[in-house]
Amino acid sequence: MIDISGLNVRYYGSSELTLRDVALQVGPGESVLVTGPSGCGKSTLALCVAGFIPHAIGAEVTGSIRVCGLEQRESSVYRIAQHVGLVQQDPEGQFCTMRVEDEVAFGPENLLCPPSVVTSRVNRALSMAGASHLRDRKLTELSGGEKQKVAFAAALAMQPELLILDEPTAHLDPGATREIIELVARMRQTDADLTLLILEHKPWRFRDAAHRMIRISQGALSYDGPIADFETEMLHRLPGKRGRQPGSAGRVLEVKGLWQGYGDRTVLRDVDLEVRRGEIVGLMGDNGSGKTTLLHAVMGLLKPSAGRILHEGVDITGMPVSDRARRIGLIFQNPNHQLFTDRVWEEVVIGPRSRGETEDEYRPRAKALIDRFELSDYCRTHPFLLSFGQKRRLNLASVMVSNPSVLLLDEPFAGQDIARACDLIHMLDEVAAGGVGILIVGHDPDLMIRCCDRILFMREGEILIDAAAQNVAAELERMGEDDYIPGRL
Amino acid sequence: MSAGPKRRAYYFSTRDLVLIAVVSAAGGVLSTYVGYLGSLMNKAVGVPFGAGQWMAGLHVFWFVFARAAVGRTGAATLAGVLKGLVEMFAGSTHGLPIVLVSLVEGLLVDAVLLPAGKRPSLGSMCLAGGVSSASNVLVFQALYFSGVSVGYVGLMTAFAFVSGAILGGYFARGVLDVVSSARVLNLDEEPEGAGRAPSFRVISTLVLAVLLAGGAVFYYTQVFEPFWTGPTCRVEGMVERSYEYRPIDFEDDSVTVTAELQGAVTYVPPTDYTGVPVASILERAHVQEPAEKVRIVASDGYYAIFDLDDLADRPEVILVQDKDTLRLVAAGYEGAYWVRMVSRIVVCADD
Amino acid sequence: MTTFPGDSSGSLAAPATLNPITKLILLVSACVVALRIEDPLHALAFFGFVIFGHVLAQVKPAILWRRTRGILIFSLILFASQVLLVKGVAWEVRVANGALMSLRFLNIVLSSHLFVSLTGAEDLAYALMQAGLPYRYGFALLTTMRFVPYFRMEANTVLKAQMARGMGVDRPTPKGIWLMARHTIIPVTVTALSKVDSLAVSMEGRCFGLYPDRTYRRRILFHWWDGAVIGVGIVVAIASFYLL
Repeated sequence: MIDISGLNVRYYGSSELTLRDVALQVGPGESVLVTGPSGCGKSTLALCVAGFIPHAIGAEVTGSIRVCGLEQRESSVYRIAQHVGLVQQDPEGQFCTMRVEDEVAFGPENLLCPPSVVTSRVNRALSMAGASHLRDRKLTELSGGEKQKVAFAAALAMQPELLILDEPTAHLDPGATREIIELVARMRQTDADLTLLILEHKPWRFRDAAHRMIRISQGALSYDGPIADFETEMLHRLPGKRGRQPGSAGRVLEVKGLWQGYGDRTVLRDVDLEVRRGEIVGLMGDNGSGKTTLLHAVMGLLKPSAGRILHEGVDITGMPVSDRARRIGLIFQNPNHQLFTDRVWEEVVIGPRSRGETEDEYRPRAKALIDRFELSDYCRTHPFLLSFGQKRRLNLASVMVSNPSVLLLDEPFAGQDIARACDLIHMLDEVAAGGVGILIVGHDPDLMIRCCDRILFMREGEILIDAAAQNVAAELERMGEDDYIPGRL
Repeated sequence: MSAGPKRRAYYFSTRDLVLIAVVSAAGGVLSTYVGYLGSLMNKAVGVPFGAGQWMAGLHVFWFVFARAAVGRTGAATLAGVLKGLVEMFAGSTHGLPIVLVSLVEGLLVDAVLLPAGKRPSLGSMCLAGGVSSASNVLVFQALYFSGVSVGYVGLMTAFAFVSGAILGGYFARGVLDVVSSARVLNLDEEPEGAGRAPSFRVISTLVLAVLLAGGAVFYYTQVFEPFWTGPTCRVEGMVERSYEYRPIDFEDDSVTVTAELQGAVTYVPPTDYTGVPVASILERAHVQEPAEKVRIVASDGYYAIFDLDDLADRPEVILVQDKDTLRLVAAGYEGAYWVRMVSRIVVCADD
Repeated sequence: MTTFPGDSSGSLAAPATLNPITKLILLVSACVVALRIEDPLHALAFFGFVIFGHVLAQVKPAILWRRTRGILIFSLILFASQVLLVKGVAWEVRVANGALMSLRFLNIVLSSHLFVSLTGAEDLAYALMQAGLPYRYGFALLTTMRFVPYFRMEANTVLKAQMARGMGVDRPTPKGIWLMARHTIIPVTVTALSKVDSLAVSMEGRCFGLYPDRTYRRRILFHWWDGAVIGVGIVVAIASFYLL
């Protein structure tokens, strides 16, 4: 099915090889997991197999790729696409219509299939992807997991012999992740002829769907064998559960009886929480449970319908956001959302400057933070030219320059491999050691439990669990939230 | 195996179309925000409206960006149509006309950048942004506000041009450089001008420059009517020769009359007015049979109807120049007949 | 007024069964006529006609008010400024002028609103493709519309991120406004562009562009009465040049 030998890929404008001397053979009906750290070349391999490199995406390619009996050099993207389906990481970025049925029918319609054939292909694909109930829905109304199922169905409607899934669980909450894992296993059982290539940071998740794993490190194939776990070792090297007892330091943030709604819909119901100085508190729960709304309400971006928010004992419920920004910092999930200027230095100082601070006041703080977050070589660089990790550090520096005593982070681990997540955890440990109270929203229980002192669990706008990190697994089990128990997914 | 040259099956590749689509969607979404910035600008400058044209360049930023990023003529026009449709469907305060305004802006970006090749220079992008942005003033003027003074329109157009050059052209170039350096957008690596003789672009630029210069000379000598020659109005309807009336052409016919304006609420005591009798203006157009009435129409749609025979007998009904507009002094008629901002004189059979 | 592309709020049976292209041509005709009308009473009659259209389309008054109140207020200001600020003209003339200007503006905007209430952007795109628009351009329209809600959320997040950094303007200055524009447009542009490659790959990976034509499971029907309505619309628009 796949026969690759001596494959080297270098993107135009880059001096480095993204893939080097890769050789891979995959037989018909086989399922193979492809793993490796972010940027190792997994997605590039997928794009090569699907024929987009070099036919649609500019890159210098040497070596041989033969897929489904087609020699890449002689076959167009369209020809390969009739045999190979590719589901990319972010479903949001791969839909081109507005309704589920239209999206699934898109491929067969392009193949000039008569409407009756299109309909039967759509029905079959939706059924295989477990998405028949979504057929009449608008894509904008779907959850992340539902969108991923529709993306699967859209690829399956092309009736591929080889299906490539690029990190299919990267942005999903544990419940949706479990559904996708089960779906892939079911697809494997339903269609034994379908060859699967699954790109995944956590290969053990798909142990029911595949038994072979390859690992790519720095562009080269470094492992080919049974499913093994390389990344988690890194996680185990972290300091482990912190678990300091509440009461050891003063409260920097208190939320009391907070209610919040959008129109007729109540999103937060009587929420109480507190964060102490130097404490890292995790906030878990399904998408839509109210986690991000809670962060935004604390920051003042939303006006609560009832309740109080106290910062170091001072009621800040009615305080304008610009004033809260001196006390509380908020970091969004996507680092690009918080990069506004065209120099790293400007990015760090823009907050204090907007609030009217003089350069003498903010300069020493900004300089210290830039040194601390290892950005001093990039002061004149455009923030968008930084790597992902550097952007994340810049986000932290630009928020910490206001000396907040509370730091809020919205899903900082989403879509990150374990190495990047560990870097972030180290950074947060440093920040917390400086006396800052941190509240993190996250989905990944394995990371959250190692990062946080205390975990809160939310469902439908209510905090159901508030427990020390080392005790939270038992509480989650008691509540029936097995997907959130570390090590289960 | 190695990568060979890419073959284009279509004028715009799928990636080009997607790029144009996402840029148009982003532009359509942010148009409300740009409008808000425009109102902030009015507030900052301390005027009720007008200063918002300083932000007009941000509306055309997307077209200049799309054209430069895609590197093909037509990208800006397509972006114009798509952004206009987004705004209309999203509930623009202008409705359907926003599609027209946006289309014209996109077309002008493509037209100005026609000789600029695949990767336009900063200067050409600024010029494209300026011309495109200025067009919004003229299109809205043509649709709704034909009676506004030429000086005001000129000022707004100048604001919009400068805004387009800076926010549309210069800013688009800066953003393009950043996103391509950061590899957010991988621009085609094909060297600029590849595939055609180096002299082709020089020749095409020269040809276009000559055409533009020739067109400009023709326009300014034969067509253009600068505001300093005074206002004009169209004489049309049942006449042998429709023409554009200009006071300067009727200097010899000019008369001075003393007239008193008696309106329902307005009264102006007897005052001397100097202007051209409407009868003389009509005479030059050669009125046809069986015309009976004359409709004097203002640029805002208001009009007054006179008997043709009456006007022929009343040389004291004159058209006077009132700053940048024409005004009818209807001596002997009540105030409602004293039409301001006259834009058309229409000869017709009956009311 | 704020709507999402594809959200049509009207539900009248007859216009809903008209082909979207028919509705688009009717809208263009209505705008031409609205611009040609020079008598305030005619403009008022046209206004009544458009409002009646909204009633027939069962657009809820609350929705109509919410989406158009800004425009109505603007029109009232336009009218009042004509009546109160223009000097040297009889009050009835000022009322007539003000009414004509306001109504002309309102008629065009409300006609467009009626069209948007009765027509989904996706239906229009499919109808245009099935009527002969090359499908690759039709999908450019669909893709544009499909990203609007997503970019709205992204733009909202960027604005919130600015607020969270204390970046606001209490007293706007030209420089401050320019910086606000930069700080918003660049992150949204980057977000938009980050979707380009994955979407192009997704579309070509499903053979978009393989053939010059494609099939459609969902048909947008064009009936004989669509032809008749288009004919009437075009005749009315042309007649307005001679009769008004």
